[in-house]
Amino acid sequence: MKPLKTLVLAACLVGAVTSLAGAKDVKTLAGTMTVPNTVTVTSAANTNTVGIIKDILIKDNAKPNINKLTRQSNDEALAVLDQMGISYDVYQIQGEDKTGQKDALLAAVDLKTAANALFENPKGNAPILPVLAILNTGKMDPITEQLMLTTVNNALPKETKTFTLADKNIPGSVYVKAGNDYSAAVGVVGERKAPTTVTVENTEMMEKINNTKYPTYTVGTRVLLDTEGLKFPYYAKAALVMTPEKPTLFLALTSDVQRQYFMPIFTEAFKSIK
Amino acid sequence: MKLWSKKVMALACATCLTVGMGAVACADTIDLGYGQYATTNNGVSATAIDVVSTNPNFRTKEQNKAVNEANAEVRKKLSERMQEIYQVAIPPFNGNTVDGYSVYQLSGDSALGHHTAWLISYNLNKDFIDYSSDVSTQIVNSVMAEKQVGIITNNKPYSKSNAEEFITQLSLVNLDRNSLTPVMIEYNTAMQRNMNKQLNQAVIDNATLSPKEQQLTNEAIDVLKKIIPNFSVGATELSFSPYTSKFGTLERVSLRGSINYDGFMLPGALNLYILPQNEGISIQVLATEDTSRDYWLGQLESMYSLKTLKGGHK
Repeated sequence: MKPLKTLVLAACLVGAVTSLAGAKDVKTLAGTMTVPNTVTVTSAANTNTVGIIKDILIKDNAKPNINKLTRQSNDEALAVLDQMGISYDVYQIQGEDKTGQKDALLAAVDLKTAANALFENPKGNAPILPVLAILNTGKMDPITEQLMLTTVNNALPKETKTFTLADKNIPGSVYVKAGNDYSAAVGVVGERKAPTTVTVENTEMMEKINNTKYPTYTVGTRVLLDTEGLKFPYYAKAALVMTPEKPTLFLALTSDVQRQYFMPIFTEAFKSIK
Repeated sequence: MKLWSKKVMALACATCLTVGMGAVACADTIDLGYGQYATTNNGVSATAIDVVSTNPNFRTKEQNKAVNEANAEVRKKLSERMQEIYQVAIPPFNGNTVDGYSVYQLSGDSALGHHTAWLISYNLNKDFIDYSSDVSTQIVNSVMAEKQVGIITNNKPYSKSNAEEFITQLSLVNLDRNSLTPVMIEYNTAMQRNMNKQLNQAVIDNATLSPKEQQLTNEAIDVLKKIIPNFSVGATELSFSPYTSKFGTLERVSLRGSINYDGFMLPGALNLYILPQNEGISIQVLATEDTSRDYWLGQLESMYSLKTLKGGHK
C-alpha cells in the first residue's frame, strides 16, 4: 500500500503546487480576483484612450467660445469617465488553448452607486427602497436571499426556449414575447422581414456559491440571437458579489465556442473575490 | 415476409426518408462565381447577405448598373493612380475588374458550440490580372533601365491552366508565431509610420482650408496621432498551401492572429482561397473566430473536396 499512498500524496502535492503556481490576482471594483496565470486581464480604466478622451473634453471646455450646453455635457462625460475603475469598469480576459486565442468581456458595476444615481429621489421610487437598503448595507437577509433565488429561478427557462421579438420598430425598447407574458429588454429593432428570435439554452440556475468571502450569486446561459437568418451565438454569465462597500454586478460575455474555455475561469474568478 | 422484417424495412425506409429530407432541408448553396457553386454539409447553413452573380443574366437591372459603374470607375482612375505612384507612363486600362461578388454567413455546430463564419467571394476579371501583370513588368523594367540592367520579358497572358500551373509550382510555406514575431514588429512599425506620414501630409494639404477648418482638422489629426500607437496587428500563424479541389487547383492562404488596441484584442483567422477560372480569379475570404478556425477549415475542405498538393499541411 505504501507506493499507492506515496503516489496519492505526490499527486495531491503536484495539484496543490500547480494550482498555487498557476494563478494570479487581478484588481477589480469588488476586490481582488484570482485567474489562471495563463490569462491576461486588461481594464478599460487603465487604457491610454481614457486619457485621450478626457484630454479632448478638457481642451474643448477650455475654449473661450464654447457654448454652455456643450460645456455641461463635456463636464458630465468627464464625471462619468472619472468614475471608470471606481464605480464601473470593463475588463477583457485574454487566453489561449490548442483551438486558438480567446477573448471575453467582463463588465462590472458598483450597484450601490448606480442605484443611488438612478433613483435620486427615493420618495418617488418607493418600490425600489428595500433594494436600495440592501445595496447600501451590502447585506441581504436569508429570507430576501431565498426570495431572490426562487423568483429568478422560476423565471428562468429550464430547457431550450426560443423567444420571438416583435417585428415592430419600437425605439429604445423591444418587447420579448415569452408565452403569454411580455417583458421589456433594452435594444432597438428596425423593420424586419422575418422576426428576430433569441434562443436560450443550457441555462445555469441562479445559485449562491459556497466558500466565498462575500455572498456571491451567479447565473448563466447560452444565447443565440437570430436576425433574418444571421446568427450571433454568445455565452453570458452574471455574478452578484455582495461586498459591504461595493455590491458589484459582474456580467461576462464571450462567444459560444469559447464557453467551455471560459466557464471554469469565470466560476473560479467570481468565487475568489476577496 | 415476417412481421419483424416488415417493421425493420419500414424503419429503414423512414430513416432514409428522414435523412434524405434532412439533407435536402439543411444543405445550402453558395455562389462562388463563374458558374461554380459549393453546397454546405448537413447541419451547416449559409445565409446570403448579398450576391451579385458573375453572369449578367442572373443580375437585377440595378446590380448590372452597379457592376458597370464600378468597372467604369476603375477604368477611369487606375492608370492615373499608377502613374502618380510610380512616375512612369502607363497605358490606359480598358478592361473589366469586378465580375461579381457574394457575402454569406455560415453557421454550424460542433462539440464546442455554435460556430459562425463570414464567407466573401470576389470575382476578379482576367483583364485586370493581365493589365496588372503588364504594368508591373513595365515598372520593373523602367527601374531596371535606370540601373542599366537587362529587361525582363512579359509574363504569359492569364488563363486558368497558366494560373493553375503557377499555383502548383508554389512552395509550401508555414510560419509559426516565433518566426512571425519579428516580421509583425516591423509591420506594425511601418504601418504606424505610414499612418503618421499620411497625417503629416494632411496637415500640409490643410493650408488651403479656412483658419477654423484648419484648427478643427489639426485637432482631429492630433487625436489620431495619439490613437495610432495603440493599434497593432498580431500574427500567430501564416501558411500558403496549394490544393486540388472539385473546382480546380487553388491556393489557400491562412492567417491567424489578432487586431489589438490599447491592451484589448480581437483574435481571428482569415483564410483566402484563390481559385483560377477561365474568366478570372475567384477569391474567397473566410473570416472566423480563432477558436472556430479549425471547424470551418474542415467544412470547406469537405465542401470543396480539397486535397493537398505536394503533401503540404492542410
